[in-house]
Formats: sequence, C-alpha cells, structure tokens
Amino acid sequence: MNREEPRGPGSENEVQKLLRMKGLVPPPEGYVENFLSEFHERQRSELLRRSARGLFVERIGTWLWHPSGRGLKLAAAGVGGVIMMGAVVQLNRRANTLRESSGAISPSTEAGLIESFPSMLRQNNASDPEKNAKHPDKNDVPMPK
Amino acid sequence: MSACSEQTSPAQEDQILVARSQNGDTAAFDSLVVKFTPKLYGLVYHMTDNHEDTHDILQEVFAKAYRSVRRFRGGSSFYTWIYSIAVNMTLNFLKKRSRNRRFALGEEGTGGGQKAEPIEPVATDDTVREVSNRELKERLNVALQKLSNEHRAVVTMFDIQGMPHAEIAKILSLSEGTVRSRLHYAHQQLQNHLEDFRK
Repeated sequence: MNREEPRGPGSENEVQKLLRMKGLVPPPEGYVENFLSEFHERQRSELLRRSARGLFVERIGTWLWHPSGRGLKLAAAGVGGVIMMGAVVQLNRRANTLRESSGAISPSTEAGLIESFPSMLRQNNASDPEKNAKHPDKNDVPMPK
Repeated sequence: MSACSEQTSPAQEDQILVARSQNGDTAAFDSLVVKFTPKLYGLVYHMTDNHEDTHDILQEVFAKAYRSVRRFRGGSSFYTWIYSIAVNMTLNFLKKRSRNRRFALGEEGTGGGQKAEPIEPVATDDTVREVSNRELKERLNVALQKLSNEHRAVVTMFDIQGMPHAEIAKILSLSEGTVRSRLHYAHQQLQNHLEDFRK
C-alpha cells in the first residue's frame, strides 16, 4: 500500500494532492456489524432458494476442482458424460422405433392426408345423394373442381 | 485471529483465514469480511458515489467470494483477489447503471455520474479565491464522476487508496504501463475540470 515514487513538482501533483485530501471514506459506525448480519441472512436465504439441482451441480464442481486426484476425477466425469449421452441417444432411438411400430402417423403422411382431404370429401358426398338432400347445409362449402 | 497476528504478517494471516474458510470455517470467512469491508467500502463508494449501491455491491462481492473461496488457489494474495472481484463487479454495475440512465433519458444521457452538474466557468479571480476547501472537494467529486469508469477506478485505487501501480495492474489484469497511462490521462482530465480553481 506504499506510494511508489515521490512526485516531482508539476501541475499533476496538485490534482493528486487534492485527491489525497479526499481521503478514504470509512463506512458509518456500526456498519460492519450490520453488514455481517445481513450477509449471514442473505447466505441463509440463498441456500434455501437454491434448488436441489443447483446444489448437486455445485457439489460436483467442487469435488471435481478439488486438487486431490483432479485428473482422475475429470476423466471419470468425462466417461460419465459419454455414458449419459449414449443413454440419451439410445432412449431416443427406442422411442422412435416404438412410435413407428405402434402405427403413429409420421409428419409426412399427415401432410399428405391433409392435402388429399378435399377430394376425399367430394367423393364421399357424391356417393351419398340422399344424405346430402336431408342436410343441405353440409354442402354449403364450395368444393374445388 | 489476534493471537496469530502477533507472529504473522497480515498476508499470512489472510492465508490462514482463507485456508480455514476453504475447510468450511464460516467464522474465519466472517473475519475476512470484517477485515476487508471498510477498505472495499471506500473503493466502491468512490467509484459509485452512492452509499446504497456500495452496500449492495459489497454484499454481492462477499457472496461471490464465499461461493468461490474453495477455488482460490493462492496465486495472488487474498487482498488482490477480493479487490479484483470488487472492482470488476463495480465496473459491471456502473456499465449497467449508465446504460439504464441513457435508456431512461431516451439515449440523450451524457454518460456521466449521477451528480454531475456542469461546471460553470468562474468569472473572476476574486471569486475563485473565495472558494473554500470543502467546495473544492465537491468540485473534485463532480470532476471524478465525469471520468470514465475505468479511469475513475485507477484514480481511486492509486490516489485515494494509495495502492501501487503493480497491484492495480494485477487487479485490473492490465500492464503497469497501461495503468500509468490511464492515471496520467485521468489526472489531465481532472486538471481540465478544475482549471478555474487552480488559478
């Protein structure tokens, strides 16, 4: 905290003298004690707020960065990560297979059905003239020719 | 804490407290808070010019230090480490504050400090002589608030807190040359602002 060099005469010195006159601004009396108790309070509420997941991630991080056996831990974490990724990919594949085998409509099939819907409706109307006569309001929609 | 201070230097004392904090001793971290709060208060207050902001920033600084004290490897002193957290958090806060002010003023803000009233040119030499020391200090505060955040940080650390160039360079992750040139520029700016009072 020592000043490094004696300052020679010059106008810059005057500004520096003025700045030194400003001096340190000490906190008000009793401030530090209150500050500390507020700090404790905030720490407690922060701990309560933090989710279980956050705590888990923090603990993993602390464990990883602790100096004892850091390399080994990082390698273990890497292997763990790869296994997790593999599991996720595998689960996705299985889910896709299940969807296909259960007959779920794929997006492309769905689009094709929507496009062919007007012609299907027209065919349906033509094959049932009696029903059309009873319910004329159903035929109000103009059909594309 | 007082027992060990008789045999060890302040830096070593900090090291002991840090090691104890890293092992989960919250009382040791409290001692660090009590020790560094007054020093950091002066630093942050000179940069923000606002007591409430200073208080909030310091709470955040110690919360961050508490969260990451286990990762502190002792590459620098705890003093340098906590100062760099405080300076960086204050600079980030000031950036946000000036951005919000500019936004609130419809992009017409000056980007200066909150109390930065314009310095009117003083008419005669007589009036200049009548300006008291207190008024001069007030003018100096205004002039300081007109500096950029980075320049104000350097001036606060060097001129007000009496820190050496090398320490400031470490805290701000700059070269000593950059610190010196920023100081020189800041002093020139302050001289220009106070020109009328120095005559």
